[in-house]
Parts: sequence; C-alpha cells; structure tokens
Amino acid sequence: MEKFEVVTGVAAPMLMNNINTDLIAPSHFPGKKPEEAVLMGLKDKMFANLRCHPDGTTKPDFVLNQLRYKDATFILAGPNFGCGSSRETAVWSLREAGIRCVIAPSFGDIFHDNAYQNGLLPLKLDMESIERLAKALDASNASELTVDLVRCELRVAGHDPVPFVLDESRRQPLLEGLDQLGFMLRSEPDITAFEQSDEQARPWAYPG
Amino acid sequence: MSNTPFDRIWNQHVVRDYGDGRALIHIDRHFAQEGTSGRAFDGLRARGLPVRRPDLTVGTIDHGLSTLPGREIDSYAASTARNLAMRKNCADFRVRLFDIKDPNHGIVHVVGPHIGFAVPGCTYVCGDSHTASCGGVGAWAWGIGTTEVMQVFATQSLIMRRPRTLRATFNGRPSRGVYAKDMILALIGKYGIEAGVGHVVEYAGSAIRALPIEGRLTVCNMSIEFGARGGLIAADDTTFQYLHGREMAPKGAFWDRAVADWRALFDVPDAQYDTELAIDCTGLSPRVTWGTTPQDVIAVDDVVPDPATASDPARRAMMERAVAYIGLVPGQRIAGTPIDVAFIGSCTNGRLSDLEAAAEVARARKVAPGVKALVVPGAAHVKAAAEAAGLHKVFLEAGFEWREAACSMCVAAGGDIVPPGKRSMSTSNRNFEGRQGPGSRTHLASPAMVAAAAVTGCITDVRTLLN
Repeated sequence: MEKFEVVTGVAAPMLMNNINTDLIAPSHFPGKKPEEAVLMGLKDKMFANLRCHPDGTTKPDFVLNQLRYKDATFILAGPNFGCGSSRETAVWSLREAGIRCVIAPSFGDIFHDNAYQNGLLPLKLDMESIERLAKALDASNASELTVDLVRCELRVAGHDPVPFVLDESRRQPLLEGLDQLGFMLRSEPDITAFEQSDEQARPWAYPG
Repeated sequence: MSNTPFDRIWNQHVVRDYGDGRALIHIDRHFAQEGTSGRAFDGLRARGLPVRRPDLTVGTIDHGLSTLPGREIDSYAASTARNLAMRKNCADFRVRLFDIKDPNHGIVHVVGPHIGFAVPGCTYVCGDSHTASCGGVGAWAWGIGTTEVMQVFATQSLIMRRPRTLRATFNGRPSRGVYAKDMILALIGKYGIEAGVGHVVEYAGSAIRALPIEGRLTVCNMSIEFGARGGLIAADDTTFQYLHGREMAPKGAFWDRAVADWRALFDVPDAQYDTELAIDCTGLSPRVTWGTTPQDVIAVDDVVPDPATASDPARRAMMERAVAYIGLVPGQRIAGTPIDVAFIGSCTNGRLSDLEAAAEVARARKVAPGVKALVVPGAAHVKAAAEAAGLHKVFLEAGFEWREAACSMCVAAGGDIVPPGKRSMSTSNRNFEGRQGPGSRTHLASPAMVAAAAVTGCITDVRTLLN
C-alpha cells in the first residue's frame, strides 16, 4: 500500500450530501453498451452519471470536467460520502484517478473502512471548516491543498493551518503503508486457539 | 452499555482485543458472491494463501446473470468472464458454489437464511451491503468490501471497531396493505439515511415480533439504507420454527443445544442501548419514495414535498436536485404518477411471501398498456415454490414477465435495465440517481404497491385494490 505522509495537490469541491458509491463507481456508462463499459478503466467510469448526460455527452459544469480540477488529488464533499453499496470499486476508482484523500463531515461505514484498506484517507472535518477551506481554495490561484498526516494539519497558502484529529490506529498504517492482512496473519495462533475453544462452547456453529 | 444481545455476540467472537475499541472478530459464516470476490481470490493467489475455512464459506453467482428463461452462465456477455472466474475460484479454493442450476442458487441474502447458513448469534459476512438481511434470523450480519473478503478468506476473522447500539422499536399494528417494506421505509423517512451510521440496529417491538421471518429479512435488509452496516432482530420461536430442519442448520442434539443457547443469548429484558428510536405502525399508510434517497419517502396518499419548506439549506439543495432528477412537481399528489416499468424482486422483496402479496393484487387483472412488468424470484427455491402454488400463472396471465432468479433490475444487472428518463416502481432498496440505469427514475415500494402500479399504470394506493 502506498504510504501517506505529506501530499500536496488540487482539491476539487463537490459539496453535495450523500454522494453514494453507485454515483462514484456506476456499473454502467451513459451512452455505452454494457460489454463496452465493462472493459473501461475504473477511473474513466468514475462519477460517470455526474460527468455525462444519459446519452453520453459531457456535462461541462461538473467539477471534475473543469480544467482547473480535472487532475484533482483531493475531494471536498458534504456529509455521508460513500454511503450505499459495499463496492470497493468506489475506492479503487478514486485511487486510480489519483485521489488520495476525501474530506467530508461523515462517511458511509463500508466505504470508510474500504478507503483505509487502500491508502485513501477519508478525513472527517466539520462542514463549516470544509466550506471555509473551499472558499480559500477557490480564491487561490491553483486550488492547491496540502494534507499533512505527519503533523495532522491541512494547509492552503496564505491561510492558517487547519488541524485535524485522527485515531492512531488509523493514522499509523497509512504513514507506514501497512498491509492489514499481513498484520492479521500474525494472529494465526490466536485464531486457531479461539476456534478450538469456541467449538467446545458452541459446537452447533461448526458444521463439521 | 454493553449488555444488549449484540454486545453478547461481539464478546463471544473476540479473538483478540486491541484495547482501543478494535478487536479481531471471528467470522462464523462467509457467503461470497461473484461481483465482489474476484480480486479477493486473486489476492490469495498472489500471496500463496488458501481459504482458511472452506467449511464455513459458500459462494454463489447472483449479480451479473441474465434472468431470461433458459439463461446460461454466459447469456449476459458483459458478466461472463466474472461468472466463469467465480466457478474457477470456488473450485480452486474448495469453496462450495451454488452454481446457476443448483437448487440452492439465488441472491445471496435470500439463500443464506433459507438453507440455514445464517443462524442466530452468528457473525455473518458477505461482500454486499445488504448482508444485514440475515439479521432477520438473529445473526449479526454485515456487508464488507473486497479487501475484507480476502481477509476473511485468509483468516476467518476481521478487525472491527465496536459499533454503538441503536434500538428501533416498532409498535402498533399495521393495517391491511401495509407491509414490512413500508415499516422500514417509514423509519428511514422519519430519521434519515445517516441515522444508523456507526451503529448496529436492533429492530424490536410488537410490530416486529408479529412479522414472519421473511418480513424480518426485509426490515433488516434495508439497515444500510439507514446508514447501519448491521441490523438484527432477536431470535424467538418464529425464528426457531423457520430454521428447524433447514439444510445447513444445526441438527439433532446440536439443534437442541443451539436453541437453548439462542434463547439465553436474546433474553435481556434490561438491555441498554446508546440510541432509542420508535415508529408507530398503527395508521401507517403504504409508502413510496419521491426522490433519490430512501429517506425521500412519503405516504402514497401524500404530495411531493416542496424543497422550499426545508429549513436546512443542504437538505433543500438535495431535495431540489432530487425533484428535478425524478421529474415531479412539488405539491403534486404522488398517486396517479404514470410509470413505465414495474420490478418485483431483489434481496429486499424477492421472497415467496413478496410474490404472494404481489400476486394477490395481480390476480384477474392486466398489466396496463405500455408498462414493462417483471417478476424476478429471489432464488431458485422461491421460483419453484411460487410455481408449485401457481403464482407464475397469475403473473403471466396478467402480462408480467416471469424470470429466473438474480439481482436483476435492482442494480441494472444482467441486462435488466430501466432506460434513460423512464419511471420505475420497484421493490428494491435504492432509488439513487442512475442505480437502475443511467437516467433511470426509481420509486421504491412494497411488492403489493408495485403490482398495483403495474396494473393501473400509475402509482396507486394498493388498499383501493384489496378487498
């Protein structure tokens, strides 16, 4: 997993509520046959129904279709980002498109866990701060934001840093680029011991 | 606060407590589906790992399948490669696969309880957000991502953060024409799609206790639309009667011991929850959604709300966007809105009792001209039971299409898609923009309500058609 320490890039404002994983990673692409869509790269399908009209023509006003934001590294969003389907393609799409962090007041639970598994930081920040950040970025020349996970702060040139709080159990694996499965496999003896005693306590739970 | 049935299940499954709110939790049951497990199997191969407990794992192919009569695994070209990969993966890793001709084939969450793979008090996962369905038989069941699917394959466990507990109590008695679907939509409509985030929900109260198991599965199915990964209902005699004798349920002396354990597990009269919510089902009207999230829901005899009345600007913006997308006018009565498509099926409402409720409305009536109406049983066993009862004839005579089991139009899968701009009445779980196809407009409702819309050609209060 790619380490996340200090990342600087363009932040795109998508301040809608409830951007669900169907919207992030739709199974179809407007204007394309399913057998064509299935061969498309995830990043090309990302936000397809926001990016395009149902006939496949581009919606020029969608934020990621704008020159300023098309290579965004961050997304600023409204509450409940990533709600809905468990599809991890939502996270993979964002990562393949170069997104490293989504900043929102809250996230769908499954998306939130999927994001951490893939080195995508789902950063929780109150809506007021996000709106202030969006305003500052909008007024700046390059919409450039720095997400500093070492110092736990967000920086926009010419503004005071915005501190954030992140649980250490979330922060450390990102800083180190740790693979969670590798960590879990170290508990193999514990799992075996658990299963042996659990099978005594709840024999009906093991079909045998 | 740690004495709810959920807390007991959590405590019983802790392999290792990390001391910071996280624990390594043992997984009793894992149901893999083809759409979300491919990269998980690939990950095992890359690491040279086996599926640790094939005896606690089963698989099926349910998302990317054609539902046309006589369909084969490759009838829907866009999903063929993924379907064939699932066959190979399950064979390579010794996972029992319910392939498309297997009598246990069907949508994961319809099959899991039916075969007794889901049982009370067990931890149950699947790479699908509607896994909480299986909470209807008292399992702690939740949806996971593909990386987590790989982790369960490899370790039969997951690192979990202990969720908070929420009890949603449904009191009163729903009237005729009002179903489990209406109850859960009423809860989501009242409290919103974020209310359950970070929680596991326990559904309780007299109206829940009165529900048969299939209705309970419907309620728990939509936990994720309420924001909650997991939702469950205390197991009781209804549950035990339902599970007894099912293929993978405990047998003989193990059964007796299991029932004793389950009774003890759910016997917590003084349980304390972090959050308590309530819904009164007396006088509840059938529900139908008007917008693009399941919380955008009203009674069928109500009018489309006016975004201008929302005090929160963010909510107002969402409502304005939803009304524009769905193509309705604030203030108009929702009943009478013409529809193009009627879909009866899905893990939410694709069970036998759902088809019975729809057939009661469809019987001796005709699908309205211009409406495409689909009935897609949730599993092979549902299709077989419905055909044994003659329900397929009721639907076919009325002009519905009678299909093979799969996820189908709920998620625009297998070629079953709502065309751009067309309006669908659907028994599924999500009315999101583009969910049933780019530009599709979805209204969620109960199977009886969808059947009523199919035969009248417009959104209709089903109570006017029931005698």
